[in-house]
Parts: sequence; C-alpha cells; structure tokens
Amino acid sequence: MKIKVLYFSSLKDKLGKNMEDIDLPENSTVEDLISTLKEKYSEISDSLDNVMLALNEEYVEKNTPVKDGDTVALIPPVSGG
Amino acid sequence: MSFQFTEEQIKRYSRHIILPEVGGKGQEKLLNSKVLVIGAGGLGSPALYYLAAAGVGTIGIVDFDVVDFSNLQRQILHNTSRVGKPKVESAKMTLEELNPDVNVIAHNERIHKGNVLDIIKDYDVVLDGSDNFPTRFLVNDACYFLDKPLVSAAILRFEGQLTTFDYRNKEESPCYRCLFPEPPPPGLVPSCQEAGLLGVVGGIMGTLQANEALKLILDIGEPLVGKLLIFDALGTEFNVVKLRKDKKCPLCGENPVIKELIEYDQESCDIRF
Repeated sequence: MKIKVLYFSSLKDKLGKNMEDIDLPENSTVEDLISTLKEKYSEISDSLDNVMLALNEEYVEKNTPVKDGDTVALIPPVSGG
Repeated sequence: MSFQFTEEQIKRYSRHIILPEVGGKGQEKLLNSKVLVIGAGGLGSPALYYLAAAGVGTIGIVDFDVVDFSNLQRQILHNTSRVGKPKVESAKMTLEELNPDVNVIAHNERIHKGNVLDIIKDYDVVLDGSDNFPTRFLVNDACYFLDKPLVSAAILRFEGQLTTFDYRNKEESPCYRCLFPEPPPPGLVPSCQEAGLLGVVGGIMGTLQANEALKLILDIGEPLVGKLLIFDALGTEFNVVKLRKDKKCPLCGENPVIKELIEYDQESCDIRF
C-alpha cells in the first residue's frame, strides 16, 4: 500500500524534500514506516527517533496501523526563538 | 466597580472598544492582565510589541542577553543605538514609549531551576520565545506545575511551530512532553545561529503568540489548545495537526515520573543536577 510521508523542518532540510510516497506491506503500522525510512535513510536514523508523528493530521503513537492512502507527517522539535 | 478610562485611553484603545467581542470590558481585562514573555528576541519582539500596543497592563520580559548586530535583522524591538545594551532594558524602552499604560517588568536573568517558579508565579499567561531546548522544557514543566497557560512557538529557517498548552485544564490539554518527551540529543536540531532564519518567520509566529494570549485573556475565539500550527514561509502554507494527551506522557500522563523541575545541560542536553 502507498503512504504519503510529509517531512517538516530539520528533517525536510536534511532530506532535501518535503514529501514522498512510500510503499509498505498491508497491516503495517507507523512504527513500520519509521523502520522502513531508517533503512532507506540510515544517516538520519537519530532524527527519525526524535519526531512527533501525525497520521492524517492527527497526533498518533507509533503502534497505530496505517492504510493505503494515509498521510504521515514527521515533525521534529524546533527550539529557535 | 467599573473601570475608569482616561480620555486618552478611550482614544488609544478605540479600535478595541468598538469591537463587540472586546468592548470596554475586554479592554479592562487586558489592562488588568499580566503576561510573561520568555526571550526578547525573534519571537519576543513582535509578541511584546503587540501585547503592549493592546494594553496588557503588566508585561514581564525574561532575557539575560545584550543586543547584538546579528539580532537587528529580525528583533524589531531593538535598534542600532541599543547594541550592547541588555535586551530587557532595550525592550522596556521601546514598549514604554509605545504605551505608557504598560508596567514592564524586566527580568535581566537566565531562567534556571532555582528561579523559574518565582518568576512565573505572578503572571496569568506565559509566552515561550526562548531559543534552546533546556529552557523550553523547564518553562513547560514550571507552567504545568503552576497551572499557567503556555503559548509555545519555535522557529527555524523558513518554518514556525505554534501551540497553546492550557494547564488550567490539564484533563483536556496535551503538554509539551506529550509531543516531545525529552530534549533531542545535542546537534540533532540546529539553532537559528547555525541554520539561519528568515526574519519575518519570527514576526509571524510571535504575532500569532500575542494573538493567542489576547484570546486567552479576553476569552474569545478559539486558542490553539490541542492543535499544532505549522507555518511554511516559502509556500505560505499553514498546516494544523490535532494533538492529544499521551497517556504515557512522563509529565501529564497516567503514571507521571516527572514531579520536579529538571535542569538539562545547555551544551549536551543531559540532565544537570
């Protein structure tokens, strides 16, 4: 199934893109998505552990299941003021 | 007892008084309110400016830094003649000139475990415009323990984040640690000094912080409680993410482990005892 991933802030800057489609097997969770991204982008593994997760514009925990067409946003913390 | 406005105040606040949602009663609430702003920088400058203009009667500012040339690209409370001056003093001068109704309390000190509760306790609303994670977590926890609403914004490059934590209503409102349970490892998230910032992003987000504070004080509209606003200046896009309390949150969850203030090290974000 296809999941749309949105990257914000420092994550967007590190990857050089603000979104992409990721293929996941059926019955995957948000955590599975993170694992897939860590494999794809091993250099930002730490960053992927420090993000807030939002599924279809709602905060969720890692074990939440995803379905085809869902959008997952990865939102890193920002401290600038 | 009804508030006695002077003739000058009636003129000064006329655009508020005409608004049915504000009126004389609302202006009185503003003049009687006390708002604390942490940081007189990129976020603090616009926030403080608009709070003072609106007639918030008592405004506290916390900042231990002095005005630097690199600030002037965005920190519009200050100016070239103030370089080298403590930021809280510079801010106080600007705000008092704009609106002499405002009592500006300058806290020329660094926030730490030993002073944060004392500083925050007498204010009605706190705005976080600080520039580092240890301070953000400390201010968050202090506001939580003192039941103070906290309007939290953060900026970097072309992006801003904003939400309001209403700690007067802990049953409903998520907290900062629901989103980010602890500071990220050092070096993971760059600062504005390292990565830069388009000045207007501070202006936009700081003004939105002031908007949140005004809504809370006037009890009008809908504050961003339970919502995270993300702004992208390049696309001029606003995204809103719905937040929820995290049952496993270390501060406000069902089994909280944080019951005392934590001082994280500024350099390493390790816990400092």
